[in-house]
Amino acid sequence: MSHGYRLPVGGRIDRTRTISFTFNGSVLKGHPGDTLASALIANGVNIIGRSFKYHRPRGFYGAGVEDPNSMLAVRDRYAYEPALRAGQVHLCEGLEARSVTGWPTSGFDLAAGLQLFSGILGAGFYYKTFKWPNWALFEPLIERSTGFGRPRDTVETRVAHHRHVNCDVFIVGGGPAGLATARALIGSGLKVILADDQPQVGGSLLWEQTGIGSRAGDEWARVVAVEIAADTNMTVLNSTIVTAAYEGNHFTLLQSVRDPFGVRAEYIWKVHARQVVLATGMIDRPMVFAGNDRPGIMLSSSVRRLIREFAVAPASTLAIYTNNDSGYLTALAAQQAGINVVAVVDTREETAAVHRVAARGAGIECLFEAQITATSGYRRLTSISVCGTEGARRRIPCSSLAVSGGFTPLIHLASHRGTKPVYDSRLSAFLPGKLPADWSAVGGVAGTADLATTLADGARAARVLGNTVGISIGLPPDESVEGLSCGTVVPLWRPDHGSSAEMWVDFQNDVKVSDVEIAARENYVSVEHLKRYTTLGMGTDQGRTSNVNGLAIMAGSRGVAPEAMGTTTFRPPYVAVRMGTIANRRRGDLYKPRRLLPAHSVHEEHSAVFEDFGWERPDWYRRNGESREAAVAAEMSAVRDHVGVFDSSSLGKIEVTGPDAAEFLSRFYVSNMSTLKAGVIRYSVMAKEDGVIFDDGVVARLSEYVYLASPTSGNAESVAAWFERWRQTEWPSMRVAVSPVTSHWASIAIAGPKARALLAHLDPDFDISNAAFPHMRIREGVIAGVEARVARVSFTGELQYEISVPARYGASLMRALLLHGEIKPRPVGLEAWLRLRLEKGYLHLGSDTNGRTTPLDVGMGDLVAKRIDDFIGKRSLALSFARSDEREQLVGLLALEGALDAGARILAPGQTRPPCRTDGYVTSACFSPSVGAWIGLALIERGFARHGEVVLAYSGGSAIACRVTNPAFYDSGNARLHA
Amino acid sequence: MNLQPDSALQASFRGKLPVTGFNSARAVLLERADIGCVLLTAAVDGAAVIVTGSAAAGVDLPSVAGLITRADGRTAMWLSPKSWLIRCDVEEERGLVGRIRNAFPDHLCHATVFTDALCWFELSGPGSLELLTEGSPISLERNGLPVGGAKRTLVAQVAAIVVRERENGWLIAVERSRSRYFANWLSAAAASRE
Repeated sequence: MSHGYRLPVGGRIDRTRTISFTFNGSVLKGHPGDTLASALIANGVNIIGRSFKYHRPRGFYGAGVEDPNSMLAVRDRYAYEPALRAGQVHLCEGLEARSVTGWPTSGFDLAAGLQLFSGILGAGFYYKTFKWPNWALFEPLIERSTGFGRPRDTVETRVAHHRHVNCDVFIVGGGPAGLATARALIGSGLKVILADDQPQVGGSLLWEQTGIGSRAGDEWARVVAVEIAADTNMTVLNSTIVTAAYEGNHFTLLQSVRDPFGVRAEYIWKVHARQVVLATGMIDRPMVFAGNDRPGIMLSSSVRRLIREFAVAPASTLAIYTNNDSGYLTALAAQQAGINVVAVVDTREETAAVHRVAARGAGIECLFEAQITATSGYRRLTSISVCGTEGARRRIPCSSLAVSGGFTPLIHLASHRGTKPVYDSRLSAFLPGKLPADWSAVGGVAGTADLATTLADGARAARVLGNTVGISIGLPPDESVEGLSCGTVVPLWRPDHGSSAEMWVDFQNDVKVSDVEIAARENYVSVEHLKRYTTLGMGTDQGRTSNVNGLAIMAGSRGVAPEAMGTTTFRPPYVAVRMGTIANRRRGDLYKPRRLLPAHSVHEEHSAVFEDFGWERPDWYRRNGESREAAVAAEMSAVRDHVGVFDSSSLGKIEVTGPDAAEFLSRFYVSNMSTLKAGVIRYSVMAKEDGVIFDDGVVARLSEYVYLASPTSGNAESVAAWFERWRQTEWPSMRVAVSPVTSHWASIAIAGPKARALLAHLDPDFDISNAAFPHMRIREGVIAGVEARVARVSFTGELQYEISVPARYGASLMRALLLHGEIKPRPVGLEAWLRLRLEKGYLHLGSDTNGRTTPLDVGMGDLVAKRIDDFIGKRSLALSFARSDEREQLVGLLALEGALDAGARILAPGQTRPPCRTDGYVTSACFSPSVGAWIGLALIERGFARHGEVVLAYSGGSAIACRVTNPAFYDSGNARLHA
Repeated sequence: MNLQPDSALQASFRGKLPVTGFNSARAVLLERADIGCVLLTAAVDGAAVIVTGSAAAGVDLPSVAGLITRADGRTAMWLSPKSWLIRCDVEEERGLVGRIRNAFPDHLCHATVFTDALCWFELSGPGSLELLTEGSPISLERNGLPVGGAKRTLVAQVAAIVVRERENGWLIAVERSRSRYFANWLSAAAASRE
C-alpha cells in the first residue's frame, strides 16, 4: 500500500524532527504538525476501518472532524480514547492508534460477507427480518458486529479543569471571518474571547493560496494573531472546540492542552457572552454517484489541506469530481505539488467554470456536463467511469478522487439555540435562519465563499456590535485580497446514471440512495422519519457529510424542493466530550457536597458506620455490636433502660421573629401556634395548599416575639423557603422575619431513664427537675460553661432532652457526654432511633406519609376540627375526598407470626395472595424488643375503623397475619415521657 | 466542666490556620476561625430599620446588593432587601447581638449569632482567581466583582459568599457542614494544577 507519500517541500510540519507512533501495531513515523490522519496517509495507510452495516472498507474521507470514516482508538501518554477521528488527533511521540472496526483486521474483515445480504439489510430491515423464531436469537450477533470503540480499563493521568468566564464578545472560529472580526475589535476595550479548534488560528488561510495586502494569507493570520495577543482584553483559545450553545448566550468549550506526548489536560470552559459572532465556516459536501464510497475518494478541500498544510499527497494520480469551481482549486494545488491530475469532471456547462482556462493552462483535462457512472477498486480506487452528454463513456484510471458537491455551512451552534435553517438556492445550502438576539454570522457559515467579502463582513460585524454597546469601531484600511473564487454551485442531488443501490449517502452507517427510496416508498417521508428509519445522519459525525444530500434526494422522490423538507435538529455536543472531563473532580468523595455533623470526628472515634441521609449520619456504631442488628439492639436497649446519646444536629432550626410571628406560624401549622406560651413546645404538621402533609416538627416559643421552628432534617431548607415564599408573595405586610440558623447549632439528644442525671453532669444554670422542667418545654441558659438551648421533647418515648449549643462546641459536648465514666451512655445511631420512635407510634415523614397523606389520615382530625381560623390546606381538608372514610389511614400492626416487611401490601379481606385487591401497605416495620414481636405502621383503607381486625401483609412470597392496632406500642400512657 | 470550641475544620478556634491538605505554589488557603458573624433580618421593609440598625451595629447597613460597608473593624454585607450579614471579631458577636436586640425590643429587626453557621476561608495568591473560576460561574472580572465587593453564588456546587478583599485575595464563606467538602475540593483543584 504505497500510494500516498510525503511531498518533498511545503506544509506547516516541522521536518527537522520525527515522531514515532504505531497504527495497528506497526511503527510509523510522522512530524510535529501532523495530525494522525495526515501521518497515516503519508505512510501509505489506506483502509482504516469498516463501515457500520456492510463492513465495507473505509479510507480517509476528510482531513478533520468532518470525516465520517476515520474513527480510531487512540492512546497517548495520558489517556486512552476509544473513538476519535484521525484528523482530530495531533501526532505525538508514542501515540498508539488502532482501528475499531473490522475483524480480525480492518484490512481483512470476515463480516464483509454481509454485503452479500445487502438485499435484505436495507433500511428498516430490523422491523421486517430476524423475527422468527425469536429476535433475541439474532440480537447478540448483531450487537457484536456493530459499534465503535472498545473501552479499556486503564490508569489515566490526564487532568481535567473547569473554567468559567464572562466576556463582551465571543467569536466562534479563528479563520478569516473570525480573525477579521477580532482584528477590528483590537483596542476597543471590549473583553473578547476567540475560540478555534486548531493549534493556531487562520482556518483555511493556512492552506488556501491567498494574499491579503502584501502578505500571504497564512502570514496575515499570524500577524493578526500577534496583534490580538498584545491586547490584554482579548483572549485566544486554541485547540478549543465549542461544543454547545445554550440559552442566555452560554457556551461550553473543550480545550485540549498538549505537550509532545499527548493531551496532558482538558479544560471545559463555560463562557457567557454579551455578543456572539459565529464564524465557524463551511465544509465540502460529497457528490452522490455509483461507487462513491471506495477508499481513495476524499472531500476536495481536504485534499487541498493535506497538500498545503501537511505536505501529504493522497495519491500519485488524482481526479476531481465537482459541481462548482472549488474543485479546480484542488486540481491546481495538486498539479503544483507534482501530483498527476488526470481530469476534472465537472457536471456543469463549460461556461459556468470560471477556472477552466487556468486548469487547461496547467495541462489538466476538463470534462463538462459529465458525470461519474461507476468506480472500480474494492480496497482502493483504481478508476472512474465517466459519461458525457452524448452518452460516450470513458474509463479514467486514478488512485484518488477529490469530490466537491457544494458546501455545507457549519450551523450547528445556531441550531442548538433553536434557529431553523433556511435554504439558500444560490449556494444550494442551508444557512442559519433568524439568529438569536446578539448573534451575528460571518463568512462561510453565512454562505459567503469569497475571501474579500468575508473580511469586509467581519469588520462590519465588529462595527455593528460596537455600536450596540456604544463603542466606535473603525473600519480597517483597504487591502487587496487575492484568492481564487469558489464560483457557483449547480447541485446534482441524484445522478442520472448508475444503480441507487451502489450510491452511498451516509458512509458511516451505510445508508444508500436505495434506502432513501425505500423510506419514500414506505411513506417515511418527513426528514425526521427519514433519519430514524434509515439511520441517515445518526452516526458519530451527526450527518455533517450526509444530511443535506439525503434530504435533497428524498425531496426529489417526493417531487418537492429541498427547502420543503426542512432539516433535523443538531443537538449538543458538537463533538464527543469525555464524561471524565465533564465530571472534573466530582468523583469519589468529591462527587457531591457532603454534609458533616459538627461532632463528626467524635462519631468516627466511636466507630460509627455512616450513611448519607442528606447529611452523613451514624446509622449504627460498631463499638455497640459485632453486627448491625446486634449494635442496633444494644443501642435501643441503652435508651430504654439507661441513656443513649444521639446527634440530632441536622434537624432544622428556623428563628421566626417579630410582632406577627405567632400569627404567621399559625397559618402554616395544623395546630394553633398563636396560643403557645413562652418556654413551651408544641408538635404539629404543616400541609401544602392541597392538604397533603409537607412537614412535621415542633415549634418552641422562646420569648414574646421569638419562635423556633424545627422542621425535619430533610426539609430544613425547604420549610425556610416555604416560609419566605408566603411572607414575600402573600403576606408582605406581616411584620415577621425568618432566619434559618440550622448549621449554627449543634443539637445532641440524650434519651433514657438516666437522661436527667446525664444532663445534670453538664452543670446547667437552671432547674432541671421534673416539676420545673416538664415535658414539652424549652429553656435557655448555660450548660458546661456555654450558652445553650435545652428542649425537653421526645422522639423515642423516653425522658429526653435535646441540648443545643453553638456548633463550635458540638464535638466537645458529644465527647463530654459519652465519656461520662459513671453513667456510661451509649452513642445511638439513626436506625435504632427510628425503631424506638416506631415502638412509640410516632410519625416518620416520608416513611409513614406519601404524596397523598393528609393530617386527617394520621389521626389529627380533632385538631383540624378545632381550628376556627385559617391555615394553609384547611380548605382542601374540608373537601369530601379528604374526609372520605375510604382513605388510607395510619394504624399500627402487630405481627401474629413471622417477620413484617416495610412495603408489604395489605391484602383485601378474603384474599390470601396476589394478584388481588389490596387495601394499603406497611410503611414502617421492625422487631420490637419492648413488645417482643414484629410491629409496624401501615396506611390501610378505613384503618381507624378496623382496629382489632386481623389482616394479611404480603411480601416476598409470603403472607403474614397481623392485628390492626393503635400505633402506640410502647408506654401508651406516656408515663416514661413525663418521668 | 467547660466545653471547648473547635473551628469548622476541627482546628483551633479563633485561629487563622492553613488548611491541611492544601498545597499550591500559587495560592494560599487559610481557615479564618477568627471571624464572627451576626445575621440581621428585618420584619418590616429594610429601609425602615437601616438607620437604627446601623447605629446599633456600629456600621452602616448597605442598601444595595453587592455593597460592603466597613467601620471599626466590622463589615456589613447586603444579603437581601431585608437581611444583612455583619462580620466582626468573634469575641464581639454576643455584644453586637445584644445591642441590636436592645435597639429593637419588638424584634422588628432580629439579630442572631451566625458565626458557627458559616466557615470562612481566605484564598489568596496569583493562582486564586483560577481556582475560584474552576468552580464558579460568577463574574470575577472587571465590573463583575471589584475589590471591596461581595456576591453570593455557587462554588464547587456549594452556596458561598465571595468577598473580594484584594486583587488576588478572597474571603469565602460556606455553610459549616459543607466546609470539609469545600476545602477538599479546593485542595484537589490546586493539586491537579501543579
